[in-house]
Amino acid sequence: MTDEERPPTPAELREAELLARALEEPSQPGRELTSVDDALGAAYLLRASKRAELDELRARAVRQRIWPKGTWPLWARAAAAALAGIAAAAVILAVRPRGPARLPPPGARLLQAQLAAARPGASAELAQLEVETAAYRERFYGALERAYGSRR
Amino acid sequence: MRTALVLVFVFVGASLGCDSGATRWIGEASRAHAEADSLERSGDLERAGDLLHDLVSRPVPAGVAPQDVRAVLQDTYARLANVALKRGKPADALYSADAGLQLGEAQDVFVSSLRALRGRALEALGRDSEAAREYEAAQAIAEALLSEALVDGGAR
Repeated sequence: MTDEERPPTPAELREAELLARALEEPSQPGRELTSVDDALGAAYLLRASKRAELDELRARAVRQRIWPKGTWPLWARAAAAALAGIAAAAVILAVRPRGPARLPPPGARLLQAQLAAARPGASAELAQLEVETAAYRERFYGALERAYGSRR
Repeated sequence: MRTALVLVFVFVGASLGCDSGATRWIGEASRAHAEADSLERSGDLERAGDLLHDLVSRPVPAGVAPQDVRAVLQDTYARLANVALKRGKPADALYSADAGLQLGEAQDVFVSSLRALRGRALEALGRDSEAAREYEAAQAIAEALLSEALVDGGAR
């Protein structure tokens, strides 16, 4: 059996009664409270902590300190609104679905090289296709870099 | 006031970050091809292939239009297929051409190149009838584009 399960002793019962009376009628002079001094202190602390809620005035003061009202001058509000507008525009521009870049049309030489390479046994024609593709690739990446902004 | 300014800068920074990801990716792809050019010229086909393979394996940042992603990757897969053919590895070439074609079909030079190179790979593997079909598909696209090019302004 643990201490908590054991029934209270007569001395403990007396102390509990004394503590209850002390809390209900605190202003009786000459009462002997030495035996429940510690318990009484703890009870007062608990009661005080319950009353420590912010009343209306204190809450307002705290709010004022955290978020001061009406302290922004007009120019600061206008600047903040302008910055917020710029930021919103930047975000919209960044996340909007981008259209594809305008790619250069393939030249006739590239297409003729493709036609020549797309035949059985046309190994030599692959070299010409490579040359024409490299030239087109340069124009193709030029167009992409113009569309997306170059970082070179 | 300070909180609002911090939020504004965070928004602007985030939006610039999104955009620079796309720009960086395009720039890296362009540089990878330029470097692969010089490696191929020096005969280092293996490193050129590794470089291009690294490019197609990278995650694509948000902010690049899907058509542009397809064009960049299909062009790179076509080049990978060509490098593999030059190294005498038709199976690798076929794999790269297939990977490129899986990104989507279109009537453009990128798909036409992939079809032609897929045909070359199949031919090298002895799969002649499949190769013929690929050549036909490549020719159909190239002929259509050539007609447009000639109508639009003659040989470039």
